Amino acid sequence: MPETTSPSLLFRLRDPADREAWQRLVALYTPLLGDWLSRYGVQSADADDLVGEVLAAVVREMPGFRYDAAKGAFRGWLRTILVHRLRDFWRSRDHQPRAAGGEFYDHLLDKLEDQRSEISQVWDREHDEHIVCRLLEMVRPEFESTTWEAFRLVMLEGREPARVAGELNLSRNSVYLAKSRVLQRLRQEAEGLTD
Amino acid sequence: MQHADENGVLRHLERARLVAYALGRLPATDSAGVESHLAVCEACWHTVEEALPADPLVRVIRSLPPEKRRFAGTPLMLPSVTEQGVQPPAELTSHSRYEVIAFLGAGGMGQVWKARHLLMDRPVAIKVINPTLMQNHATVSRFRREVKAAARLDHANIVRSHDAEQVGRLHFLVMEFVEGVDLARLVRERGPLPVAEACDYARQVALGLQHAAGHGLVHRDIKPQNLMRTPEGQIKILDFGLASFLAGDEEGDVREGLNAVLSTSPDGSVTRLGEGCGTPDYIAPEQIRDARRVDGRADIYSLGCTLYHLLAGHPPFPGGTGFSKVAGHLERTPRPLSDVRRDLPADFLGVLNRMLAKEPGMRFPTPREVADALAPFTSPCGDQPPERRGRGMNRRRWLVGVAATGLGPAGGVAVWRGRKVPSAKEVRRFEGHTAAIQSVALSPDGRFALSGGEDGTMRLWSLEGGEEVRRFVGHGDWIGWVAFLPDGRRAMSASYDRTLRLWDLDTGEVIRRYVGAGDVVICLAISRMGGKCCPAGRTSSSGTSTAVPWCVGWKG
Repeated sequence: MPETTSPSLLFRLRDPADREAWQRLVALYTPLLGDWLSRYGVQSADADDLVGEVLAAVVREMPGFRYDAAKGAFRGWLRTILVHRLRDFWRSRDHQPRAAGGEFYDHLLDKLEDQRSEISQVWDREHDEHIVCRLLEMVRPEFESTTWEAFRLVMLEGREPARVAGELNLSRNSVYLAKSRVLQRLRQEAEGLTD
Repeated sequence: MQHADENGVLRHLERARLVAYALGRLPATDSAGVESHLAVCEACWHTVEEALPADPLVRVIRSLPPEKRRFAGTPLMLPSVTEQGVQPPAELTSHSRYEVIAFLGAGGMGQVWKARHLLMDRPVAIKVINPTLMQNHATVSRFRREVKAAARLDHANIVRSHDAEQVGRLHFLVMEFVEGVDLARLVRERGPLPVAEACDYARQVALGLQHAAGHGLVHRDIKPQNLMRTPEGQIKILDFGLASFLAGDEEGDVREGLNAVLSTSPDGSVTRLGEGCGTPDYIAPEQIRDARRVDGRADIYSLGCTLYHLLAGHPPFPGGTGFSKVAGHLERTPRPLSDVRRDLPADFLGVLNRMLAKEPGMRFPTPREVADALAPFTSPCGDQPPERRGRGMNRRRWLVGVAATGLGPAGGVAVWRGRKVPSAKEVRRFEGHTAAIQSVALSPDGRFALSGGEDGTMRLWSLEGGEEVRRFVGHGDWIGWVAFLPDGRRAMSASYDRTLRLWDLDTGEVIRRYVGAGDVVICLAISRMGGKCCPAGRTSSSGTSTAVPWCVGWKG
């Protein structure tokens, strides 16, 4: 089926010339990466540089990244790039926070690198939530306001489709359709990023 | 696949195709056919619906925390929608035993609702645990185990857990409903608390922790947000067992400290990342290193950080990232509290520092000892600034009473000293009022007494020297009530001349005069924080005394 849907963002990124896709990637990931770097004690000016470096590494290595439908492949790959950049950063610039002790800090990075660690799971969850939210924001203007509202109430607020239909003066059918269409659009964008 | 055969008979669609459609995986070209079938076939809708919960993307969307849902679109201005506010989950609204009354708040662990237990007819608080925290069987059984352990606790300073329930996919924790504010909000609204008040609260927490220790329970997440203050001033510890539930992990690979590092955004707000992990503002060093091996002394450290927060208005390591906070707990000494405020009793800092010792062995061994160590500072008498404390006066309990009998028309004030009234011995007598004394008060630092009498004067006495320090003249009738303001430098008097006066004790002048709405002003009460006073009096002159409290406020 994927071959007949329009290409996902990840698919489009294989083409280094697809500027719109790259811009979208930057818009999607800059806040997320910046947030994580600052949690790791990187000052904001340095964090901006590092986000740039991470995204540049993605651009550079994207052709070699094989999207083999392995679960979470992209976000895990990105996490690994982030860890490597952070290690280089601390080492090369002698920025390692003295107070916390190097050992503790190394442990922290090891945990983020370890796919099965709890921190990596937190990264995964935060990543997925962030990406879903941003993508929802991006695709929202493509929908009629009632379509969106039906989707929002059922999927985000967990309301009963029948009640939502009544409130919005739609048939129950239309509520289901609305939900399915938004979901389809979202999935098309998110393909490969969150699963 | 046609939705009707050549004879016009409706045929259901293939399940795989419906599922693909439901998940938004069917190409647009193929979707149209499915949609037209679904328009007339209810049964197939059910298939579509059933497919959703298992899908990872759907799961991410469904479990988005409320604050993140906003990014996905604010509600449209449809009145029927916006008026609804936060919706309780259907599992709760349809529950046979509870009726949802109000939304109380949301934290990392989930939403909290106020509800009524229909059979018992009592209010309860129901915490709906975030489904993402209950991902597997082991987690659920650990949750039940911890809640069960916490439900055994029965102490005035601990919020009672009634029950853990599961309805459908949701897990609830049913708790005692506590009216009040949490201490984080209290400090946010009022600023740093007076020493006596803060120590009183911390001591109550220590008593609750001691009770839990008797049951082998450690809280692991003591922080101002988890401490509720009732209108009566009682402190209740929230969420016993919940932090332990989140800290435990079947793989034995949990490092709360690491999570704590990640839990704080640069702006200082705690994100959902840190849910259930020790909050980095109050977390003990050993909890950062290895959360699995902590004991009750970690709670003592967290309580120390909490007490610091109550007195400073901010936690020991404010600002910065979670990383720098964790580094602070591990290796730095917080800014001395004595730099932040100057009214700390000298002995107090030793107690606080011992609670905040980096090495658990250097702390108080049990919460009971913390409670005992804080006790001397919990009464306003313990609130005295060190430089104002008279030699030989510390640690003594003073008692001032009016010796009404045997003094004839003239009033006298006697002072007793001692811990118990019956064995108290009169140590000093103050004489001067020309008529009976109606009211006495003791200054916050315990060095002075005020008296108000039927001669219309208020007098300030030195307890040590016994002399009348100052006389306050102005009221035109009996003074029925006198009280010190918390600063100890001003006082309030209520008089039968229908006025209330705010006095400067240093100069003897009236700062302000308040005229009540009714007749005489009989009594008054001053808020411990200052700034507010509630007098009460009588309104009618017909002799029936109706108490009419009113409220007076001032700045500074």
